[in-house]
Amino acid sequence: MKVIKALALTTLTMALVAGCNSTPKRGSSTQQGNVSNNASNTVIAKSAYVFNDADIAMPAYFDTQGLERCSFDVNNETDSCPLKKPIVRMYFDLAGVSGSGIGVDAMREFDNQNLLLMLENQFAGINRFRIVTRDDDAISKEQQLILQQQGVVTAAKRAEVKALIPDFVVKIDSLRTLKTEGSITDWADYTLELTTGVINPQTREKLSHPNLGKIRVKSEDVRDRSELKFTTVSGRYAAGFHFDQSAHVNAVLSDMGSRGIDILLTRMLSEMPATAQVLGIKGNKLSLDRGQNAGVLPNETMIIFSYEAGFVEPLGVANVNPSRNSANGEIIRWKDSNVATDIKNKAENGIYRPASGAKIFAVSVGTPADFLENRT
Amino acid sequence: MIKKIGILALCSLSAQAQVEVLADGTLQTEACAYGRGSLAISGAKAQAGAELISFIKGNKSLTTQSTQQHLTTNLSDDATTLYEQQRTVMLEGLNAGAVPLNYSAPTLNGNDTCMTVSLNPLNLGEPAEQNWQNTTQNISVTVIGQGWDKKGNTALTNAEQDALQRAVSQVVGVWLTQQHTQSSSTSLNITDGNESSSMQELIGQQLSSHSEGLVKEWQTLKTKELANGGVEITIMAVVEKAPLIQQASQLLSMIGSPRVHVIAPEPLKTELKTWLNEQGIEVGAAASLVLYGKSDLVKRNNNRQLRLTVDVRDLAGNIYGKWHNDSSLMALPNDAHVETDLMAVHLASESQSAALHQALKGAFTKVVARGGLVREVLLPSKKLTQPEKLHAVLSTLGGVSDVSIHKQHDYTVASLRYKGDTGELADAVEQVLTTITANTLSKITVEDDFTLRYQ
Repeated sequence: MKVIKALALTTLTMALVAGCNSTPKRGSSTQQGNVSNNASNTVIAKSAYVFNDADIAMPAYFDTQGLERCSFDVNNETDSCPLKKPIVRMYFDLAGVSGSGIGVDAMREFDNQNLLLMLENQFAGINRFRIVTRDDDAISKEQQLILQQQGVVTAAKRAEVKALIPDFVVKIDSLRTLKTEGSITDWADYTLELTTGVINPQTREKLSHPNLGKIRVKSEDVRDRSELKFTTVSGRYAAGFHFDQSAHVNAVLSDMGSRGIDILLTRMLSEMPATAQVLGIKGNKLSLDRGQNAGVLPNETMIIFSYEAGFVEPLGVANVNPSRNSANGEIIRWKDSNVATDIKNKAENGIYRPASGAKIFAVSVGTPADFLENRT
Repeated sequence: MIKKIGILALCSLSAQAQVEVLADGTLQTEACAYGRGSLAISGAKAQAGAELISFIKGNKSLTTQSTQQHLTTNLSDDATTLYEQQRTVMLEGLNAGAVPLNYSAPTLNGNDTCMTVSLNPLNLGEPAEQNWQNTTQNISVTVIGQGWDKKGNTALTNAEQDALQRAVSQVVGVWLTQQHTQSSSTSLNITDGNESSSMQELIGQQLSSHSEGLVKEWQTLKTKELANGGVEITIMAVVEKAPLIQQASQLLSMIGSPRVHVIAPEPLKTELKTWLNEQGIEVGAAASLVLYGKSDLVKRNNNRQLRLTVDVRDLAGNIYGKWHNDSSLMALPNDAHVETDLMAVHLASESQSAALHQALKGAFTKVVARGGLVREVLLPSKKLTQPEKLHAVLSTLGGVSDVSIHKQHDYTVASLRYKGDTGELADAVEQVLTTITANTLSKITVEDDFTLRYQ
């Protein structure tokens, strides 16, 4: 026994001496990274059917606000209600292209009004904002038709309803560049960069959220590089891609814009996921307290989690389909944990309703797996 | 045995209607309605109410058989008696929606919103009777007036005058409020408290000059000496309602429909004239009030909006009221008829026409508040024997204010405000002017609502 004690003491002393002798090494919490100018790509949710246990983890930006404070009147919703969506007006700003050079003139003439309307349509569909359209021509045409077909009294009555006042302005700023080699046989490389700003029009504050980052689209993402090949003779167009004609250039730029908007949408859905409260679980079936009205999309992959005393515990992953005011889903895989097993067992014998202390929520993980296929 | 049947009967019924009877006699049921929000909640409430009615109705048919028996088994005696007594009240009340029901907080259930509704017979009270007091012919008011020595009158006389005016003003206030609450078809729409009190002040002020005709009798209750030789007097005055209402109505109608001359580019002019006629406001060239209208098209890219302005002026150039439209109401694609179309919509719009009407009413009210319309009396300068006294003489006329004199060619023009109509003014002017004019002065002629002329 004594021997062991002495040995232990010696080892400790040696360790101490060794520790004193070594010089402290400076730690590092950062590392070098490379700034890439690669084209951006979409990030979409996995289907719930291909999730494994480790995948069942909490995504960012979930919101556990319930519907208690909601009035369910879309125009008169309280700020604390999660169904209240900010009203926005959208702008698509195309920075002017100055200077001269091969193909620059053709690139300059680009109509961004239609790109804006496309943007409005796509954003309206994901139900994260209420969008006040800037399609004045369609509105005034419609008012004229009402005036013609329903008469002045009806038209006047309809006109009394005012347009929504936007809470925010969503502005897409863009930058177009063109690169050519300057040789006789050449390629046109267009690049479109998009950034999104959410601006409070009263205070002029640019909000930090949703942060959609920067989206870079290159012409090679939408066209095979050989399609943009052209030949010049004495600096003038001879054959190949019509770099000097705006219609041809716009076709490429529109495709790039459209791709950029798609990427923007998928980022928006990850930045602003849909959260709903679970009202009950019956077997693997889920009943959620909100659906389309909270922006739940068809075939949404949602992580089910319990929320108690500020802690979240993922329970499983579900495939959810919305109805107008609620949503129904099926838990495809339960998390391998005691909490999840406990709830699973309870739900097997009837409807499990969360007790008042603990709440169960579902949060979407991002753009539904089949969204890009079906909606873009 | 009877007991048992009773329990069975009520149980089966309550299962069917999903109404539970609690131990204190409270009837409770849960109902759900599709959707979210107030609409779904009221749907659920209505559904629950209907279930309660059908429960109480169904129960009634069991009375002879067994309810009494059953209720005594389940409920306390007090509750049973109460339930029996209140059944009719509950049925009638539920049908009329006048029974206080207790609602739980709504809960969400899939697409439905559900709530638990309970009815406690204990909470039912007798419906309150509305008390309507018949209005009397006279109104007595107690008011305090103050006065000081002024204009050759004693302090007491001035205090009495002041008190009487206050009495009239107070009764006018009562009348206006009553008009406001009893009918919506008063010639002036009094929309809020502010306007009501300004009208009361205005009419009271205008009527007070004739307070002797309106106050039937009055008696001094108390007098008190004030500083600087003033007197404070408390009187009890009996004001007759009939003449007061008559005079106040006259004033109101004068505010409501004076004659107006419309100057505006077509098609705004026709639109305005038609609209004025629809509102019962007379239109004519010889009017002392002028409506100036202006319309502009505003370019908004491919579309056009309309900007309209209308103001009310008198012939002396005073502006009494101004209205401009809300051009955001509508934008139409640019074409040949865009102005006419937009104008038609703007004038057909309820909010716009209400605002225009309001602005015009406000303008006409202001005319009365300022002491009536401006008129000009034209006298040949050479027939005026004492021109320096003209101002003073005209100022002494009752109802005349803001007298000013200027020369215009061979005429001396007195411009003044008068509360009554032009004929009345002509008579009054004719009487007072004899003292300061030559005998050769012609009879006064009323050229139009604005101009009175001597030859």
